[in-house]
Amino acid sequence: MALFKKKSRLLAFLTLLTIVSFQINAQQFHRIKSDYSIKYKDPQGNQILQMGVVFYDINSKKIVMKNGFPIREILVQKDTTIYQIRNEHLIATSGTYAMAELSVYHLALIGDLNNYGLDKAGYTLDTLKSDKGLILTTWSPPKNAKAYLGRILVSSKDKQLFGIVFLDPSEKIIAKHLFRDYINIDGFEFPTEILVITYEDDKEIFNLTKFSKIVINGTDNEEYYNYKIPSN
Amino acid sequence: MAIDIKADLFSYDEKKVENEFIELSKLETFIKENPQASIEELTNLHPEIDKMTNLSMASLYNNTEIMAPGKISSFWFTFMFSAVGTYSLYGAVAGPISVGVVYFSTHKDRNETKKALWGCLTGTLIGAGIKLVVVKLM
Repeated sequence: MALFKKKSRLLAFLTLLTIVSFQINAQQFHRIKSDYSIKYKDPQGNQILQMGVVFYDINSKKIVMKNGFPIREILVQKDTTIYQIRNEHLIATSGTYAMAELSVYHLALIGDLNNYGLDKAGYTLDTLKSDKGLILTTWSPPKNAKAYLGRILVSSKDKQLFGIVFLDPSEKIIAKHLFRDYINIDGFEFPTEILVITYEDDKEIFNLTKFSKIVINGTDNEEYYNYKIPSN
Repeated sequence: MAIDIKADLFSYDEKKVENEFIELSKLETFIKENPQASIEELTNLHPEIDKMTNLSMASLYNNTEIMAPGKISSFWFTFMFSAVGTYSLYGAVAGPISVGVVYFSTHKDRNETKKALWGCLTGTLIGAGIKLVVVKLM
């Protein structure tokens, strides 16, 4: 009986320790600021460069992109809506498919980037294996979405997300996302380059995003972390 | 047929990516080193720059809806006023006025003003055409 009590106390202590350490970890990183540059080609083949500063706070759940070049404007993503703001006026809205909470910023801050949050998006882990130093997993979409969503293949290296391959339902590769040159700031790991390759009519289209001057848990620029979208 | 997952699926041609963005990388470095550079200096370095100076980040996303007054697209906003205005003749100035409204409400956005001008032109032609047919029939 005494041994049982001792074991119970130990178990309770370990459970408490796990909960506390999880909470500390979850609260450890809550916001990120970074300079960014995005290089891509528009549908007309023009080469485009966008540069600015991005802010994200896991509490406000808004991706705020303060673009400086070529156009000074602010783009805010909340849920799946993009708000385009110039001179403190809302001039347009757009739709996007990816939730802000499945963005690289949110996932990195909560320490869930290694499988790109696919488990939370309803995907199911199918297979797991290793090849040439990469841990490879395959993920199936939710049953009710299988008609229009294909499998997703994920690779990680040294516990860091390395790449994602998106397939359509007929198993054709439609896009690859590659995460490179991770930076470690007091235990916070973040890729400083994300290369997106999309395949259209057997052509490769590149989109390269680079991050620099990354600040974690910054206390300045409060107005951007909690950006208030103007109502005009 | 299901694709077999292997490491090679995550490979890519690094050189090809570098070559793709060689000019933009030069431009990026120049802007970082010269944040106050004028548009002329940037154009000298990258002659194609005029094609990107009016491009919003929003172009990366789908379904952009510019908010002309009433949340109507800029083209249809001016088209409506121009067509009705030209048909009634007395309101022929409604088209140019609506272009002005779009110009200021979108904070002088060149793309939207261009759409508004096309809307004005199309609306005017259609309004005038209908008016002509109606007058001839009467």
